[in-house]
Amino acid sequence: MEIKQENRNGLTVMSLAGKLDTVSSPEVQSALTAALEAADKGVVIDMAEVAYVSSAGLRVMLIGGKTAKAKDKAFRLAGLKPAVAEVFKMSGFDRLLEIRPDVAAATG
Amino acid sequence: MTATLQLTLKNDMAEHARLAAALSDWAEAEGIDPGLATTFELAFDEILANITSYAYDDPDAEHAIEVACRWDGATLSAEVVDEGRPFDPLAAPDPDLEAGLEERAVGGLGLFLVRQLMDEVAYRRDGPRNRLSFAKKPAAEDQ
Repeated sequence: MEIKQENRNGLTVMSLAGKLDTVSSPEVQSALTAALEAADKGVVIDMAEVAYVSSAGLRVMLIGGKTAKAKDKAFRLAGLKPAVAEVFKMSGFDRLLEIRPDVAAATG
Repeated sequence: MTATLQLTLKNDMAEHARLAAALSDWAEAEGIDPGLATTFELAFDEILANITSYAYDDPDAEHAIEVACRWDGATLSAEVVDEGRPFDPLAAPDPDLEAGLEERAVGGLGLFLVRQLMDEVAYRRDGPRNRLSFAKKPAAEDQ
């Protein structure tokens, strides 16, 4: 998993590239926890280059949403591929988390 | 003409990458829809994670997991065979999809996703082995 971060309008945009699965999730979890701690207003996860998300990845996003809420910070997902969006819908996570079409919509 | 892919994996999640690479190469060679192959890669992640975490009394010892994939030109099917404790993934309860952010449990989703993503999932105990099979046709727009 490739993880990049940049600041946009006070939000940390974390771009992931690869597969968000059992093996890569712990790495993403620690990066996300640190980013939520450090971010001014919150974190946007750019998932445009994520091929698929397994339940381990859904768990990371759920923990991200809970952590952000406890810290009163924003937590948004952006750019989900159709197959990834389908997994979020199947699991009901599309109703638990803020999902935007792309990073511009998530940071605007 | 039916194409098959067979691999014996160890009970180590690092093996998922080896399976994923073999599946991707095989799917490309057989002209199988890449999106369908990715759905199977996701399912294997859930199933192998479940087996490596929960199936064995001695998880640190090496155990063999047999994986077979079959493509008949219309349906991709797979079977995962392990010699762990008897476990029927079809009997596991569905997660509470209506729970809110705070209440939502962080586990129990993986096998639910496999059941949702596949057209068919079947389990049987075969002597000392669990046999989990699943199948899916490509999405209609890909055909």
